[in-house]
Amino acid sequence: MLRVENLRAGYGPLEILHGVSLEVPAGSLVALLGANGAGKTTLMRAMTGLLPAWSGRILFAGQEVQRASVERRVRLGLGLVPEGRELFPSLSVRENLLMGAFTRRGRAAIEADIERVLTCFPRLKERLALPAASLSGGEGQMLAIGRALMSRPRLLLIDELSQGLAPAIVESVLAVLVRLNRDEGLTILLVEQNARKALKVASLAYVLQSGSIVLQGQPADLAASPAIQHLYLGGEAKVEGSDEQNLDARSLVRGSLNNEARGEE
Amino acid sequence: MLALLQVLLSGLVTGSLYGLLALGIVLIYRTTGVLNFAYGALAATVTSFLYVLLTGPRLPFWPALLLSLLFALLLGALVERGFARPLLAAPILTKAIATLALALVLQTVVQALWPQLTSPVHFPTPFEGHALHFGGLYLSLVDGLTLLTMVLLLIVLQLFLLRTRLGMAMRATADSLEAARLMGIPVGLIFLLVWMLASLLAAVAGILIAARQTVIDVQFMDPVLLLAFIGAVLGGLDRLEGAVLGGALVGLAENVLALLLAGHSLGALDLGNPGIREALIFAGFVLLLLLRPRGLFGGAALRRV
Repeated sequence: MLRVENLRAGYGPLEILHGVSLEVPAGSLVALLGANGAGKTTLMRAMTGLLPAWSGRILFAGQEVQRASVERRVRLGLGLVPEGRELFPSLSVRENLLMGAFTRRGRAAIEADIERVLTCFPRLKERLALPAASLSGGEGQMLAIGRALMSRPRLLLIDELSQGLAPAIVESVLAVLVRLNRDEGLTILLVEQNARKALKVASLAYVLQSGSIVLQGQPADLAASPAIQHLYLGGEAKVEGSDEQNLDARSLVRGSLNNEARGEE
Repeated sequence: MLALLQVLLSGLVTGSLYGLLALGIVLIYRTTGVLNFAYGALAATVTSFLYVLLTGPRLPFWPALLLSLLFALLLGALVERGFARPLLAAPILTKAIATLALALVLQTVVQALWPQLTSPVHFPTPFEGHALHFGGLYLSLVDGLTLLTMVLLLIVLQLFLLRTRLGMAMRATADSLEAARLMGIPVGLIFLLVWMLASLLAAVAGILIAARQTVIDVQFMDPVLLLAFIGAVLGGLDRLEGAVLGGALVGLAENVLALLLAGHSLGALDLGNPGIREALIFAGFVLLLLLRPRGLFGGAALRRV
């Protein structure tokens, strides 16, 4: 479905991605893990075309798209739920969903897909006419996913699903995504700081660190690996590593605790 | 009582013209982040074009008007492609200052092409000298047309922005450029359309103002633009309804002040002088901004990066 080969990209003179390669097989749910500043969001932006790729290749649905416009990639079936959701705050929930279907024609099919999104996220139903700015964090994430689904993507990229959300909300949104993946064959690339939850649902996982893929494999193997346990799961396992890594691990644990504690409403 | 009603009526007319201009200013600011100080010059350029069509080849008014409005669309597109697009990523202050340069360029070009507009000339329209009477109230034909145009434009614009896919995409682009790109919205095309639409609004306002004043020169929009900007900022700069209301408020204040100050003097100072009126409006504006920095109707914080 998607293959990234030796992708380099960055901002201004600063290279963030130092030759990233990864593959998302059709029908899979892939987790991409990494600490703050690892380059996860930069990778998402380069994949969708919001950020130009310096070099390397991005193959999507059998085509080279690293030079293609965002619009072209959306039309090919690439959908992104961006970090921070990026809703249209002054537009109503319904209008946000309609904008998600901007590249499509056919009113009836679009209306049917709005119904489909509302079936996935019933909480949005009573909010349809309200501006997106009035939504809670969880509802906002549901709308961001629903909006991305409205373009009928073949591959859905989700950047930081759990950011700022209560654990219960994350669970229920994840359940919807797993169902879409299993029942409708939607391919999903899930970018997460919360490694434990992502590894539980994924069929393949990558770890991005300082702009390079440092680990990849079956989620079960990754979850069991001491390095991952220590770095991303806050486990007890002892690992040999530099002090710097240990410091990273501590701040990561604190970060994820904050996320869990902050809650939503 | 009748005098007050008459003043309120004129205030509504001037106010709707300021509102129309403020609307265009806010539309461009919201979608492209440009505080457009060249907006008055855009209006003046199209109005000058109409003047030349009316006086040079002596075209009848309505065909000349139609040609001028088409010219406004073209001018808006040219300014977007040649001026606004290259500056898209520039800081907001850079863009604002660049529009001052654009205003000078437009004025210079108009003066070079049509030197007769360097000094005040008579702007001929078929409405001049006609008036409507309601009881004791008097409304010139131009003023009546202004109110009618304003109401129609607002309705059409509102329907366009709220009901059409393109209008919705414009609002979405104004909300979040990046998300709009992610939806596959061709944001370049949206910018182009916004400038064309705003240029059309400027042209309509400029032509109506010229028809009211009956005399124009190349700079006739400058004082008007300043008051329209006050209206836009009072409205919060980020809301279209706010812009219209802010503009209307400035127009009403201007006319009511004129009524109150007429015939009064402070020592040797004649308070009926229009300069005093404007000074008072500016003072009130500054005071209001101190009390409500986001304008009267502005909701969200002003941010545009």
